[in-house]
Amino acid sequence: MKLFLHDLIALIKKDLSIEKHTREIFLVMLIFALSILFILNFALDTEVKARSSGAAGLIWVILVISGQLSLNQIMNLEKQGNMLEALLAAPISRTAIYFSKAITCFLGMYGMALVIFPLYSIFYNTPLNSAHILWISALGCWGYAALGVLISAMTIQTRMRDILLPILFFPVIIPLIVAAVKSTGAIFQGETIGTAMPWISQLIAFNVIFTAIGMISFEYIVEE
Amino acid sequence: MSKTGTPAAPLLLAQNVQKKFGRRKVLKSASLQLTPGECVILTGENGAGKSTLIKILAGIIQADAADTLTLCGEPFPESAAQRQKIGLVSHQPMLYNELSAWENLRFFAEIYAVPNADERIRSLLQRIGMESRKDDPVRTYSRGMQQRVSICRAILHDPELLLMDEPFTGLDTKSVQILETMIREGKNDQKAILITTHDPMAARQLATRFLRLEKGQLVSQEFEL
Repeated sequence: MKLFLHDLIALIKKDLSIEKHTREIFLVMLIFALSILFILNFALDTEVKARSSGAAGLIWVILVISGQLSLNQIMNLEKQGNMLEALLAAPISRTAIYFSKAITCFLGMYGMALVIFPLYSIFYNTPLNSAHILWISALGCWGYAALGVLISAMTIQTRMRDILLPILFFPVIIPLIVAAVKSTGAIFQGETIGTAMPWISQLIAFNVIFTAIGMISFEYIVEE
Repeated sequence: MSKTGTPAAPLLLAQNVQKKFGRRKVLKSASLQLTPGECVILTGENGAGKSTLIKILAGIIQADAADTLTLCGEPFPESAAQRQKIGLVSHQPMLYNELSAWENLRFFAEIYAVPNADERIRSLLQRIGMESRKDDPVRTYSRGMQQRVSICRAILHDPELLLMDEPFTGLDTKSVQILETMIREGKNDQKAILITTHDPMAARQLATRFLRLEKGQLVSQEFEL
């Protein structure tokens, strides 16, 4: 376990170090997300109540689409120069590689959520007055990263990877996004956490299932 | 043969290794044995399966079947601990373009748990004449320089078995000299070395034995040295 954590930390540090040099993941996601936020300002109803009801859906659409940019980039790092083969030949478990990629993707997406939620609130005068948003969005972002990295690993070896990723990924991610939107929406509208619990349970179930599938199947996906 | 005259125990033993991609059987029954201090040159036409065999031995892909696959007498390469004993040089540098040579080697030193990593990296970079460029991103290096750093990456953890897939491809004279010196040192240090190449003459002075991959099987080949 100690060795696993040591390798995991080394892999994450390496990804963050590359990001520090290139700024190709977080900055791209941020610019993209802010652009959509700005466009929506003109497209949406100006009435505060109407905006509040649709806020959760819009924020998650922004996160999902900008998150896909990070997925492409995170796996592409290992595609260049045969780095995935260098990692597979190293004395580290495939599960550590999987978790490092999922955690890097999660950090990017959750960081984005921490920027987008308050920005949306300020731009659109929508009250976001519950700390529950923090952990609900963390659950949504982790599920997205856990499944996204798995599908990105499948498509990275293909010629049409940029097209294949959204085609394969978005249909499977629908239950997670619906649960994230519904639970976030309930919190936005001032309902109790108990009201959102069925959706939060779905989020947790999705996270557990796809994290387990990722841990088991990542090895076979990258070796083929 | 060992110094006492008894045959040296094989460091690497692979028997009846099989691998197919789709319907195409790339390796039908490849058997190979490497003893410490040996440098075996593996030749074969393009697409013969040389790289596939290297990938199987390095643990990158799994064989469909194999009667025996042992390194130092223990099964490999599925075991992560056993992969610690293997160094891999590919025709691609296997370095992160955006990181410097130092950062790349520091990362690999960490995942290979290399003791006194900074000192080891410094001495290797000095040997390949890259100390002055160690902080520049790898993408700014020439092909030869990248390959020299790649060789450092492969020997950083002092592996018992060195696998080299077309290591001479695209190298300048200086890089070829450095690579040859390192292979000679590896032989002297009783490492086992397997080099694939489509041009056996390129490394003929280094070889202790030649093998050829033909129709998915390994056969001995003789060259006049």
